Amino acid sequence: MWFPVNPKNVEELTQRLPTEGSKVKVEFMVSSYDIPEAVRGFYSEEKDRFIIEFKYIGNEPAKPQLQDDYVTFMVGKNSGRLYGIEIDVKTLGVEEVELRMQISKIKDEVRKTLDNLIQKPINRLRQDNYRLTQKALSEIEDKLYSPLSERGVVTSKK
Amino acid sequence: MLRQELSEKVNYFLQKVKYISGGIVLFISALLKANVPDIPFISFFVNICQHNAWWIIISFTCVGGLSQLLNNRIGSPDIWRIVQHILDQYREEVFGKDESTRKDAEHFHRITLFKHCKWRWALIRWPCSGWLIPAARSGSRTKTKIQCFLASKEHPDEAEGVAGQTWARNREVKVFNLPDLSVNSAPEDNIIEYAKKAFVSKEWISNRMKRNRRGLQCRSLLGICIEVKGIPWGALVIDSRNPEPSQLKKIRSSKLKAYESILSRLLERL
Repeated sequence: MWFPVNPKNVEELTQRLPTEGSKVKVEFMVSSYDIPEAVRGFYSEEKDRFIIEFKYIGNEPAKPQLQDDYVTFMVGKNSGRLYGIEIDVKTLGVEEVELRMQISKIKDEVRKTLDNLIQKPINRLRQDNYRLTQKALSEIEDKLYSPLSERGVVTSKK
Repeated sequence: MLRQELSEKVNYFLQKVKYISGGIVLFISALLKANVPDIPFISFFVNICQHNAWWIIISFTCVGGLSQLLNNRIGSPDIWRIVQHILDQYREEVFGKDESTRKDAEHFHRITLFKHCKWRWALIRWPCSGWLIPAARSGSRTKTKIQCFLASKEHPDEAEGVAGQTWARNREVKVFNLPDLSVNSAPEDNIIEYAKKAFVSKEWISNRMKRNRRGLQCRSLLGICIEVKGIPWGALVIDSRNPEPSQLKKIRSSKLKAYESILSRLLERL
């Protein structure tokens, strides 16, 4: 289920040219194509991963970009925009802790990798997009990870 | 000439060329296996066709293929009519529903779709520089002699106009409160400032003012990048005679974003 988002820091990312005493205002704003419209999170039985996906007004094929042992980003082939995050919850080693801490660990991992992505962007031109996806995630964190709560995160196959 | 007009003029002709070429290729291919009859004129015709079949088939196959290619490049009139409708609806949504602008003439506030092309005929400047050329405009007025803007992939800093800067930066570019150049003998300082803030040269402004006896009446501009499959395709430019149109705050509304999304999907076919 898609959750509509409206990242509130879009205007903060606007660059304004100095007016130099003139009345003319020139601003460079974030492209509408970089602003996520909706987010969803679900557990994929097929891939055995928790997947977060972002929806935009445009669309393009996405390619995987491995971030670390647990997280893979799906980025646009042409634009480098962030289309999805795949978390390998089994490798993350959450089986041995209780559910609340499992979800907390996954959230921390996602936040950490997104922070890294903003610091070291895959595509420097998409830095605003990465900030907006981070903001969008923080707005709906509880609703987004609810499929994990319902499922019990990892019913580890012993 | 905007794309809708161009496609309406040439689409019918190119379709005919394609089908006639196909018909000739089929006919000549069939004649290759024909027995030459004893009737004088017909036997002469069949012999000529059979002897020259090799270049007739190749030539007309190429002609048919080129016609189809050209037709695909220009785009079908149906798609351009839908693009025109979207631009009209977009304009209506931004300016047509607002009390302060809904009674204004349609050419006071316009929406122009620019497409990026690597090449165009340009007698003054090098034609392969990379250009943003007008593809469609809202309304039914001021649809001829629309300016093209330089937009080179190798020199994006030199991209001209709000359209060029929008495409080069892949960001939305907003320019408000431009000086009023519609007055007689506009001050030189105003012309220089207008040129600088609108990302064009002073000569560009002077030429436009010479061509238009009422001077330049656009006071604000907003450029919106248009992407197709993640690649910058061109730019949508909104120009208005209002120096600071409050209507442009609606740009992030879901309805307008839906129009941009539909436009991106449509333009995949062009």
